[in-house]
Amino acid sequence: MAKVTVNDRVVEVPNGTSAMDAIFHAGYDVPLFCAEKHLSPIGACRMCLVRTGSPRKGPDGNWILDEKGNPKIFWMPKLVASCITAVTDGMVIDTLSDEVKHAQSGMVELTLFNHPLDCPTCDKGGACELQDRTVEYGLVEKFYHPNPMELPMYTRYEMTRRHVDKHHSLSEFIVLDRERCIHCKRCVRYFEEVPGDEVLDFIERGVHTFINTEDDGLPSNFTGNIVDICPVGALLDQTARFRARNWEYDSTETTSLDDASGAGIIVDTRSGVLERIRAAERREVNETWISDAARFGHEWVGQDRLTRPLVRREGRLVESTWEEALAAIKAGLAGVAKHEIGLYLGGNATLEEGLAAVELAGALGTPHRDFQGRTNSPATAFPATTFAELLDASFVLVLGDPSEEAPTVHLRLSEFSRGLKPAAVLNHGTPFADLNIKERMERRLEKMALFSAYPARLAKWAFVSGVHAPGAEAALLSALLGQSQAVPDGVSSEAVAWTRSRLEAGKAVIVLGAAVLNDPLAAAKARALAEKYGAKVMCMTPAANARGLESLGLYPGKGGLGWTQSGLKAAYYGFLPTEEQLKATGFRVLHLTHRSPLAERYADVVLPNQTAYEKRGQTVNLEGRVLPVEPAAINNGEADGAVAALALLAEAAGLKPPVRLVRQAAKTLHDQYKLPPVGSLWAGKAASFSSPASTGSLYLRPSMWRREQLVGAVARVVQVCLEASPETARENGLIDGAVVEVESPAGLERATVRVVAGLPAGVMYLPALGAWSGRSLAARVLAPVEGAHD
Amino acid sequence: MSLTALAQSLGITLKALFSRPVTVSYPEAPVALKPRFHGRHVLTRHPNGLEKCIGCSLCAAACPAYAIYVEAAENDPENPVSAGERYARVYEINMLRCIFCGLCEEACPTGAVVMGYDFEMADYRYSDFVYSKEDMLVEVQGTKPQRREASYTGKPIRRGYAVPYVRPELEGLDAPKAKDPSYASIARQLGIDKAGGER
Amino acid sequence: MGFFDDKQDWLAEVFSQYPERRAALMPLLRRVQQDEGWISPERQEEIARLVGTTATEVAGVMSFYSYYQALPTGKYHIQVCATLSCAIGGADELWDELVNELQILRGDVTDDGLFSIQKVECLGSCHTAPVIQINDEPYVECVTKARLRALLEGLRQGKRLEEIQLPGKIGHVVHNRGDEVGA
Repeated sequence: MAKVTVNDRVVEVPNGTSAMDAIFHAGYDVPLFCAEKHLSPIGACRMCLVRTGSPRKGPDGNWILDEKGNPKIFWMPKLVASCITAVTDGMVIDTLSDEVKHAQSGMVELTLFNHPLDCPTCDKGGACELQDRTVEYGLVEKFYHPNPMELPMYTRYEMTRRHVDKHHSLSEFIVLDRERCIHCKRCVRYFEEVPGDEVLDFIERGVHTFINTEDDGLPSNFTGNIVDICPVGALLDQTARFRARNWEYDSTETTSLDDASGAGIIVDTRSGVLERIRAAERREVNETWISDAARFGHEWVGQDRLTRPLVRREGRLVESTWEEALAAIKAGLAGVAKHEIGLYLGGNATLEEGLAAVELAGALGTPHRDFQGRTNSPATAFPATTFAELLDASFVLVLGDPSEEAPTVHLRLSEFSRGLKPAAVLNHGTPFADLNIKERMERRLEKMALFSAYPARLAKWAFVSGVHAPGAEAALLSALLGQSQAVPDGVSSEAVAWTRSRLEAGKAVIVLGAAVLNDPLAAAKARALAEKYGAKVMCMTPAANARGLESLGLYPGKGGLGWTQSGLKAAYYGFLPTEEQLKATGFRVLHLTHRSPLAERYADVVLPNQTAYEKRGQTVNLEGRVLPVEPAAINNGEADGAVAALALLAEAAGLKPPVRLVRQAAKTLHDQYKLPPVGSLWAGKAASFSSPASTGSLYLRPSMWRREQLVGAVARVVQVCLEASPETARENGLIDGAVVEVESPAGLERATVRVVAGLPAGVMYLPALGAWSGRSLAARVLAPVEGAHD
Repeated sequence: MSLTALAQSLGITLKALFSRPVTVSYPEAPVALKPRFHGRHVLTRHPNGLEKCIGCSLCAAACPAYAIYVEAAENDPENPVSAGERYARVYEINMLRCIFCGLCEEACPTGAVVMGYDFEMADYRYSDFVYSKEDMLVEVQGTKPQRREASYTGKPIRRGYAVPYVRPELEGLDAPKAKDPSYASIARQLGIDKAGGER
Repeated sequence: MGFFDDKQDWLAEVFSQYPERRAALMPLLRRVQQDEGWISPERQEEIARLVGTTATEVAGVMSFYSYYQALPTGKYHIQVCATLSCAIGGADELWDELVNELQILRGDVTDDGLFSIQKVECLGSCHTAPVIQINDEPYVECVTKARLRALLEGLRQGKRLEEIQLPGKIGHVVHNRGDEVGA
């Protein structure tokens, strides 16, 4: 610990803390533009200039003393940038003197020199760091109004400013205004350090410097974060362009249910419409970063919402009321035995909704209960691993593709590969200038091995990596266990041997993707591997709340049908099942957020559902952490969550609803299931179930985007491609660039054929876009018929 | 009390007896407003016809009565509504909430919203008091009820006021002119309203 | 075909001089610039691939140094110093004169393929401002409009730079080049 004097306060901070963080820790303020949490401090903006001094030791090893007998402070000859200055014991920092104030106000003036004054039309206006710093530090009265007998000098800008490209679309999601850029380099550093996709850089120099990319449309899954960290309005969210000023949004902090990592998001709405999503800081989980799917995949929410229940009358679905829906369900359930009613929730159901389903299934006595995206073997069979434990590991074996399955894991593995540990917590939280983080830190490849069934981005940070055929996970794990000498194609035996040697060294974490969890044999071997080497396991489940729902027991009982099966007399679906499933079900109650052609054709009753942004409740992420789900102010008409819909179903079945209200469910969770408070870890009951892995020539590769998100800008970015190696394409008669339809148990999908050399032979790849991620399915490729399907 | 004082006061009475009365017979005759009267808002335009409003919502932020609602959108570069990237797709002022304080005008960075002269806004339905862009643009004459009446009767809009000159911020506003010699020199200085005169 | 395909030995030699491949970016850029006069996007891609970085970073490094050209240049690439001393000394007027005289802008080459022009940052001869440099040749200093016209005329006639007699009292060419570095 170093003892530092900041102005008049003495604080103790850990050695290696930056002077900037010591100042914040002491409760003083210093302006900054280029420093940012979780990024390397570089001292680019010179905004954080302060005066520092330190005592010195003389040749005799004792402190040099001043006249009064105190250690003499040797002041630095010039002001220093506090973000890149490490504290030393006894350091004195001065942030309040005239010299410092003058320098800081001068830096604001210089930063504003070429900054356009278009704040009224700028989307950052009101949340702009430059605006704030200008107000706080721009004008020091002493300097701009030195003589009370004269008029104050407010500005010296009497020249024209730099004029360059004002509307430059970096991608469909991000627009760059080069006039506004103040060259803080946050975005450039972010891309290199956090996701590791070096797509942006400074071009030119001096006053001509601008940000640009040679790549088309920023090829990365994590581009949106640069919008959050841009201190000015240079990088802006194109999907929320001009929707509202920052002070007009209703902001709700909630948890992203787009993937299982439980990233914190801030949902901004205005007049009942979801306009924008930003990252919320959640130190333990996503720090300050979220994936593009969590940030930009929200346009679908407001489009064509289902706001009232629909009941089938004379063959057509007509708008009605919840009461009429109750009557219709009552009529539909007449003659159906209670134990033949299926209850199927969406994968992003909250714990409260899961509890309602479990309780109702118990009351009905039905074994047919499940949630969408449940894997064939349980994720809760593995004790959860936290991100802190991941960073603490000495080796990580990844079996899957974290960038797509649980994007936050990619970002935390980025820290892991740079050898970073969770930053110290100071009085102000995460350090703004963490001197442990440096530019272009060496990626420690020897700490990671990655094997997946489809080329994964993270292979670049793995010492050994391999792309094996889907379904070969069990064989690979056998080889890693030493049970067999054979290794699957695409993985070298040297790679397996090296991975084994690293696992033997201990302190390993195994990250499992959906493909392993969907194969009970592979999952059992993974469990054996973890036990053998004492490794921790992190499961990237396709369903956001898989861990919580499994712990509650929301999976088929004895003889029960799972979410991929069908054939019941009556079923409640909290998601849109496939056409085959709908056909095979007798009485279908769908609980949907949007109208859909399938529901139009088959549903008997459609209840309006809430999206994940409108629910209230709790969820459990892949670390087993209980996280809050808060409703944003979105106008959804009469929509209600699964708790209400299941209560309605119970009444229709002639039962007293076991759970009527979310708060009632939360109390039960707390009392009976010992659910800890939000933010802490819950070691729920381990589930035990196993259904055989499906096989087929089509592999639904994990994708961070979901089917419903593919509207607007996302639809222009995400291309659904059917990929195959040249040989496989030839065998199946696939022509590069052709548009085909793929029919599989997961439904019908329209895709563009892409022939990719180097993919495992005999397999066609399709992005899963949702719950079917990581499954091999039997499929037929059809020539498309225009307008036949929606 | 002296006699002179009595004579003086009687003199004032006599003077008032024979001078023109100050009472205005509104609504038969227009009421004379000062040029800086705070009446119904006007959304002004640039000389090239583009709207000055850029939809920045600063007026709504400044409004102490929360009377203003703005929704912005991006200009079509081929066919812009306002100068610049952004324009107000929706601009509404609730005249029942408005306290005519003029803070919106103070806050406006482009001088788009300016307090005009119309004050005859009495109406029957709440929704009719929400004035949208179409009711406030500078070329629009009169208030909503006045225009409704004019469309029923087919007669021109009759506005119950007159101003000696229209202040420069309201450039392009066609307001009834009042003859007031005390303003002649100001109007001359501002370079507006050379003719003046009463209609 | 790539530029470096037949220069594997040279590449190996260059790479061996640096601790990491990325550091060899500059010599590779310099080699292409010297041999081809400019560095095309294909060459940038190739260099990025060779040194293991991105095309974006190559473009960033290239644009930092005015020596590297991302567009084709003429036989005589005229670089006008536009930094403070030269700007005060009349570099902007000189630039306008050049644009008028040659009828080209930055990025263009005259129809006869002789000239291209560029503004550059400080050339380091502030006491003789304004300064221009042609290709890698010694500076032409204290350039007035008359001296510029004479210079262009001489170059058009195919004279070598040293042979051109410029009006005015000051010596027309100062040999102050540093030793050639690197490759």
